[in-house]
Amino acid sequence: MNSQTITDTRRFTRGQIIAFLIALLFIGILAAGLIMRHQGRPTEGPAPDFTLTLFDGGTLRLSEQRGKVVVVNFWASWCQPCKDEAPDLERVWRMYKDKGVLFIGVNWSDTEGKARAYLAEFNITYPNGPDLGRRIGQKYRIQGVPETFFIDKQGHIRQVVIRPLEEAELISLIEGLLNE
Amino acid sequence: MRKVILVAILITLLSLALTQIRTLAATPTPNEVEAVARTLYCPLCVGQRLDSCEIPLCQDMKREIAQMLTEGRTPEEIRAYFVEQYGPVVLGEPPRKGINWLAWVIPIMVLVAAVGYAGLKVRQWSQERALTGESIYTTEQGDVEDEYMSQVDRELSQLE
Repeated sequence: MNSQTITDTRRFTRGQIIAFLIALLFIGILAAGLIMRHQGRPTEGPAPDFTLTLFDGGTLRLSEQRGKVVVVNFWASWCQPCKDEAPDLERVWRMYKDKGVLFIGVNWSDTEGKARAYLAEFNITYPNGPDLGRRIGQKYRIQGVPETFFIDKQGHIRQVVIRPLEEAELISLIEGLLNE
Repeated sequence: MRKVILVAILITLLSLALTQIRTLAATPTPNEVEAVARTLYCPLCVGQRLDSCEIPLCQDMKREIAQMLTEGRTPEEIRAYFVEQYGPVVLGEPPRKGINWLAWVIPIMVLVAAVGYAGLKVRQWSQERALTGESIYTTEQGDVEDEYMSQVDRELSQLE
């Protein structure tokens, strides 16, 4: 009698198995979503590639910039710290634009009119474009703005700064990568 | 000559008035802007609807909605524009396409499976009860009472 009882409890019906698999799939998807959400921004290794549609027209692809030191700056017109660092970024860009350095401005979670007004206000001349669908921000797992990624000549992320940058620090980081 | 100048002034005034009327007619009311904003979510906040969001980006987005309505764009076109700009997060729900369908289908499947399983179990359980003839009111306390009555019977028979 006891052995019969044990046999009965160990038998699963097809319905039970399907229900179990569905529950497992559901939990798996939830877990994957949570893991992805809590993954930090990349701080080393190959920089995720992206194509930026520029405000001035045309596009710019990161992977086509190998051989240059690339500074990718995420910003928004509503962000005060971005405004604080904007003059320094532009100044350093003008110092290094002919020395194998490229600055790329990625306008994140903003409106086009305000973004264009910001670029005009700070007289920003390096390539800039909106992060359409916030896909670039997702690839770099940014949490807010400003965030700046320094990419070496081989296309690897070497430094991430998640606060406003100042001229001296920008020069120091760029020089370090240029001299490698 | 004076007549010509007068007519010219009248025509100018009339055309200005018509332009003004056309602009006023095209300007969306706050309610029309709110109606579109109610269907969108702030891309920076968690679950915050655009109509009740006061951060600078939301204010800018509402101004863009008003601008686009003035240009004659439909609410659907405006929503599509914002999805292109900020991603599906502005819709407040995953778009119903591709793998995102799983987010809609799986909870329903789990619910159906759970209800089905519970129904099956209840039916199985009532069938078992019916077959064994066991009363559903049989309790542990009943077993104790049976034992007690047996003991009383035994002791009574001993007395006899």
